[in-house]
Amino acid sequence: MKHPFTLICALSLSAGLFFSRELPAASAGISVLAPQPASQNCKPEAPIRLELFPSDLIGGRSRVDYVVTPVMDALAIEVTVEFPGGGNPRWHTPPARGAAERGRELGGALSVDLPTNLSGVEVIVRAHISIPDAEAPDGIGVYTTSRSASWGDLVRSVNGVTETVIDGELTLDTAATRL
Amino acid sequence: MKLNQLRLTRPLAALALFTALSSTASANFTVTGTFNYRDRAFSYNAGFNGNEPALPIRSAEVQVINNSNGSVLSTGFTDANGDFSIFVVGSGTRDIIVRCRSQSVFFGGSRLRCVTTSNVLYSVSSALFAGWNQNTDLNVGTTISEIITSGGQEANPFNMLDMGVYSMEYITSVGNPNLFGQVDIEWPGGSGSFASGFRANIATDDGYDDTVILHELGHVFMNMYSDADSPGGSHSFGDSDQNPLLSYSEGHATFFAAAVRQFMGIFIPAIYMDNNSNGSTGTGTIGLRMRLESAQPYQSSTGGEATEVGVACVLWDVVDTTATNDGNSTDDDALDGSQLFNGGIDGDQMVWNAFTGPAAGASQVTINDLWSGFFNPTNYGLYPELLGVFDNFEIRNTLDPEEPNNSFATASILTSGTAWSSIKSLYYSASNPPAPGDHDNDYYKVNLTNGDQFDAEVRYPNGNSNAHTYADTHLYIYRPNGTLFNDDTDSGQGRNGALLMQVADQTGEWRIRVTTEGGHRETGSYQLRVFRSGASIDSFDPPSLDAVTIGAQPLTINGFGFSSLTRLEVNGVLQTLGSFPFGSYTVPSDSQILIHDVQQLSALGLIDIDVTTSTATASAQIQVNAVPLPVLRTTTANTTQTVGIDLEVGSAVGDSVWVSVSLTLLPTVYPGILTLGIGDNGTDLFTVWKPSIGLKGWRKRHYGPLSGLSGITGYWQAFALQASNGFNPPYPESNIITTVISF
Repeated sequence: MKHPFTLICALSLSAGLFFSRELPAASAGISVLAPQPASQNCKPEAPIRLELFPSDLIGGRSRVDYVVTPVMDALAIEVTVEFPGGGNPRWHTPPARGAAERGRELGGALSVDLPTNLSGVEVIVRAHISIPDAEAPDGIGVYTTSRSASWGDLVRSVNGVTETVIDGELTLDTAATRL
Repeated sequence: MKLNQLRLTRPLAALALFTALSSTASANFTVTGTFNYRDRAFSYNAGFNGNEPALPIRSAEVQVINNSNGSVLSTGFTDANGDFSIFVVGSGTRDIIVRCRSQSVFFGGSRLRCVTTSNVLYSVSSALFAGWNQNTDLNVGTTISEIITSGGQEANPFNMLDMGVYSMEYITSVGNPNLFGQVDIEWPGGSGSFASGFRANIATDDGYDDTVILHELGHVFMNMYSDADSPGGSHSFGDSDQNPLLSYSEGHATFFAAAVRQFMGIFIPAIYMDNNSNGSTGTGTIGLRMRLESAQPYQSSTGGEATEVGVACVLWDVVDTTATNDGNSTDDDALDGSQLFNGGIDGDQMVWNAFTGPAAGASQVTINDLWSGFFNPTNYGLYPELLGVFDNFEIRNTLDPEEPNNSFATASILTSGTAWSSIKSLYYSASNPPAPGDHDNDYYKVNLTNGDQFDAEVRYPNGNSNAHTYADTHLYIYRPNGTLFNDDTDSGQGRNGALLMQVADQTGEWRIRVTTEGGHRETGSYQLRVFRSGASIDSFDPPSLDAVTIGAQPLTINGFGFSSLTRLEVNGVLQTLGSFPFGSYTVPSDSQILIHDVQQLSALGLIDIDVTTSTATASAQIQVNAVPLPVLRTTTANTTQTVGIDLEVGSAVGDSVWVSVSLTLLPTVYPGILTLGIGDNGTDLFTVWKPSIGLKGWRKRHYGPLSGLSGITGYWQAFALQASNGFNPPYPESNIITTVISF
């Protein structure tokens, strides 16, 4: 991965990383979910763009670089990470939490350890933007855009259902309360 | 037509569609019961609030099943209350179970389903009634489908199905009761909800986000009943510079969600919310929200055709009325329901008609195509009210006061200057009401002179780079003879045209044309200006200078471009900026330079005045004349001298000037020769200097203080032996100057 602003990087680590877009493309088996291909109509998102650039998963470990870009002037930016199927962050260097003007690209990176006994694993990155909102506590609303990076075949199991076959047709029967 | 009216047209009992499995059946029974699903309530200010009511599963397929062999005995549907009543043909006893599946076939035969991404239906089943005597009617009671999860996120497929059923009931109310194909709502759909074709993929954490589900269904129904040309992809609230094709598609989908929620009778329907469904409650669950009434909290960046929030809000204002269930008995816009559109229809119907009619046939469909559909081919009326609603969100489908200025002949007058014009709109229609209004050309005329350097440029309204960035202008300049001089499309701000540092090559009335680049930005708003750029010296006041004057000799330089003046030279001598006595000139305006006192020029005849600004230079010459009669002045500001005075004398070139000083103001008169006002007839007259005037037209000398005299007033006067007179008398005298001599 290139760091074209090396000097700036060294002087402003506390402000987060700034890096070029020339990152290694996601390898086969890696998927970065949402945004969807241009032919699909996605749901509206918070006024902050988030792009993930995950690396290969090797020995259950991977690095995910990302770029957040506020669509509106932001009072603050924050990035959090979740592991819905298990896993831990080894380290995370987020962008600075302070204000950021519209269109400014801010970089961050994290290294993750993920389970090795699953057919597919994922990590969810959430970018939170604080903007003026008269109806929010203290007049500041915090809204979130999420992206998921996954490796392998992610099985999205549904819990609370039972497979049933009626007339040769499978359905997932939900749990029920019967009165 | 609203939901309560719809209910009156449908039977309260479930539709009794059933299949007879035995032609020899001798006993029949009816199976009744109720199916509900567990919902999660949310509100704009609280997110998921912890309320989890049981709501009816409506219009869903119900199967009466022989649990012994898994065969379907009979099929029916739930009604608006989740109740069903199904007639079953059978005899003897059977193990009976009743199952409700997450699909509905009420809408023209095609199915509306909630399925997994592998196309597996969901279901919920009653208790098992083992060995049921089929001679007896069976009531299975109430079965509530409970919350299920995936990846820790909660959902219920019947909630998603219910959003689909409500959507179709809304669409039925405006005249389209039939699905044109199977609609699938898929869950769990991963990390991002989206729609493609007739499929709505609902993200794993969006299963209880009703507005998200309805938004994606809005896309599905746009694909089914109308037209969408959006490039798709990710998009955000707060983005005010979107592709207007996307803004329309996304804005309409968000509007659709609010319109369906209004149809459902929900309190405060006009919101969009996307919450975290991990089972938690409170404001921490809120991931995204927006109010369609106000665009809050994105109102600062909402405006124009290129904002999905603007499109959603403007369409909401068309359909909301004083009857909207929002705790407010008024409406904040003129379309408050007190008037119906032509044909006696309400806003929902009118929007739907345009949506499925003219907008469905438009290429590159934007909100402006929907607007045009309000009036063409059917004029639904209420034009002023609709215009006001659209204008509230800066979608300016209105003719600006200059119209019609669509040709050379009808060009509007444009005042040259650095001030921007008022906001213009690229919108024109000769129809009544004026729609559609695309393909407008705005012509302006401005006078220019051959050789004038000028700038012509277009910008977004008020130079705003964030909101209102819809226009994509093309700028053309034509000469007075009608030929094209130059054109530009993107050199200005954003997508606007600009032509800078142009030099006019004809004198007369020039034409400026502003139009759009077309495509999906057929209209838009802009501001325009044309002004002479660079710098120019047009005239001097006075038009000529004297080599020496008794008092100060100010000079005004008239022209333009002086606001950015960086350097002024007079006959090669650099001048200093500042008010007298700190500088030699000031710049009171862009069109004037004021030199306080022009004296002591090094030459007679034409001298150069050179102006340098931040972008250009300009030069001109002014005539400097020798004074015909002698002039005497002191160039020292303080006439009380402790160190002497600087004396300056001017006269015609070649004259011999005698400068005298006296302590008396009594005249010296030599009739026919000279007449002085000092000297007491020569008894107190001292000639101290006899300069010959050279090519500059003036001479200068310093006189130190006179010894022996203190506090004494001295009077100076000169007379000239004129070369033009052969140095013969009479000798004209100069003015008298007075100094106080002290040491």
